[in-house]
Amino acid sequence: MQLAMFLLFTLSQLTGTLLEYSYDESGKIVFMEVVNTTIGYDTLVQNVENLGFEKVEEGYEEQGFSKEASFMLYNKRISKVPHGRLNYNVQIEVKGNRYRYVITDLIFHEYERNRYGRYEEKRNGQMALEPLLADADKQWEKHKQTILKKMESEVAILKSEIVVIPVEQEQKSKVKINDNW
Amino acid sequence: MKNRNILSIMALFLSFSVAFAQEDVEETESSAVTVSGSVDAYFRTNLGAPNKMPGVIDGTAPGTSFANRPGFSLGMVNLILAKEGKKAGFVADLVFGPRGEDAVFGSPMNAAVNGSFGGSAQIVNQLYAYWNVSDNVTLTMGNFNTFLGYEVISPTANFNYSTSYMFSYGPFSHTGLKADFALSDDMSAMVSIMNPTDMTEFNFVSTYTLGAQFGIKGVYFNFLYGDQDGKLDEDLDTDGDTSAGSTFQGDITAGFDLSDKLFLGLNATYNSTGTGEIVNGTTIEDVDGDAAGFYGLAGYFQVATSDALSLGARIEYFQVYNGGLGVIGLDADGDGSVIDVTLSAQYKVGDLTIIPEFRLDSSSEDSFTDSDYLPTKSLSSFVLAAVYSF
Repeated sequence: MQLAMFLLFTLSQLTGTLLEYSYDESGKIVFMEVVNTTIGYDTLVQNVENLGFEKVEEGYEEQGFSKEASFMLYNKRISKVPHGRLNYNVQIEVKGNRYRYVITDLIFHEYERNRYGRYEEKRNGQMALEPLLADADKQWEKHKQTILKKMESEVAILKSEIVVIPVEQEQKSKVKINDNW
Repeated sequence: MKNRNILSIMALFLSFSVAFAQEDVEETESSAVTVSGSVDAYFRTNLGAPNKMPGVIDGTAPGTSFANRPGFSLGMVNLILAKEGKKAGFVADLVFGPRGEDAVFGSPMNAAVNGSFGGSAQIVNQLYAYWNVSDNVTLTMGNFNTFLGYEVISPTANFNYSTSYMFSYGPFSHTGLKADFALSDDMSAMVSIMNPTDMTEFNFVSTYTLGAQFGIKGVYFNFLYGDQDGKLDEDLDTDGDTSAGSTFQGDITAGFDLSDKLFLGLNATYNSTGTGEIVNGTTIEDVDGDAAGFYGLAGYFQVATSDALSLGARIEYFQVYNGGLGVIGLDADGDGSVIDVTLSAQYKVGDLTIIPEFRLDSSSEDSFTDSDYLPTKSLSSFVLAAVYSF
């Protein structure tokens, strides 16, 4: 059973969603998809909560969740050095046995070295991602692809973990050592 | 059983494939040691004053650190190796070249003990390891640049290439143990116990200096207190030996974004060292008199005219009292002051920053030399610097 679950998980990773940049009516980047599942509403809701999402919309057959997430972007120089952190919001709405994820509000927080030689967030160095990608230089062209790949990876993980069916703990068989071997 | 083995092998293969696929994606995580730093060089000339001085190899220049040699001159190579782990990390900040040598001027201590001048201890600007005890508390031990003052040793973090008097005569570096506390998004605190200032390799005077910092919304209140040259000892020191008293320095730094394009930075500092003690015969006595030191105030104005070009001005007033420093001309009471105005532009070409800079130093007493090689109260100079970050 565990092996089958593992196989299912790895297969779902390999067949992860290929994303592309899409924009809502106000020009904000949005990654969004409606996903049908074969598991029940209650399990879906439970799994979303287990993934650390906060409930923002309560309903009998429909619930909404939200979570802030982020990852680092690096510049390649002599070594990889932090360029900044990309913060974004993930919303999940569960309806019946399907759910919809919406990833938006992508904000780039630029990093710089402080007086002690450590990288930290630059004061007032936060910018919406959209204009940075619209006017992308060589570095941001690379980041554009990195962000897409990272989002694909995050979505693949989200999609695999959101449909996990809780497995009851198997009773470990007790081994009795005796002389009759 | 056989099918189960095949499934296991397939799963293993698929998991490796996933791992490989993710490796390809992983531009986003780094647990490796980062290498970064800067390289800088400059040209400097006095305006209306000689660059060549009889008996003084580096001519007349403002009495501030770095960027004070005539002609085409070298700054430094700054090489920073760092590992920023979630729980712990380190920074090894190494400096090579004249600016670096001036920055670590207190470092030949180890070489003096070993008789090995020119050894590797003299390239260490910072060397520390830290432990993030929790999300809000970080413990750091080793040699770190000072928390006092507005300007720093690295030319990449300063707007003006030349430095202020307050920076030059405040501490550069400390060696010790500090605890940083993130009290909230806008508030921070730090306490530290350190060797005397700039005694970065070890402590041979057996007194320690205490440091503290409180920060709120970009305004930092910094404090330093301790005996910098140790206490006299009746069994060791002989008649006439003296020791300065404890040094206190209080300092405020602040930065405000007045608009998207306009920035204002402020620094004020007050430094005072007690008169200390003297060995009189076989007894140690306190020395009568007033404390000596300096104080000052500086404003930093910067305006971004485009993504590539920014203009900035530093205006500093610096006062020495009771002969606290001999870096500018002083009157009979040991008092003297200087006002320096520095106008700089920063033009960025990729990772290169070009900084042309005009500077005027005007002091209350004669501190410089004019074109007739006579003492004068003011000095104008021009600097063109190239700073490359990597």
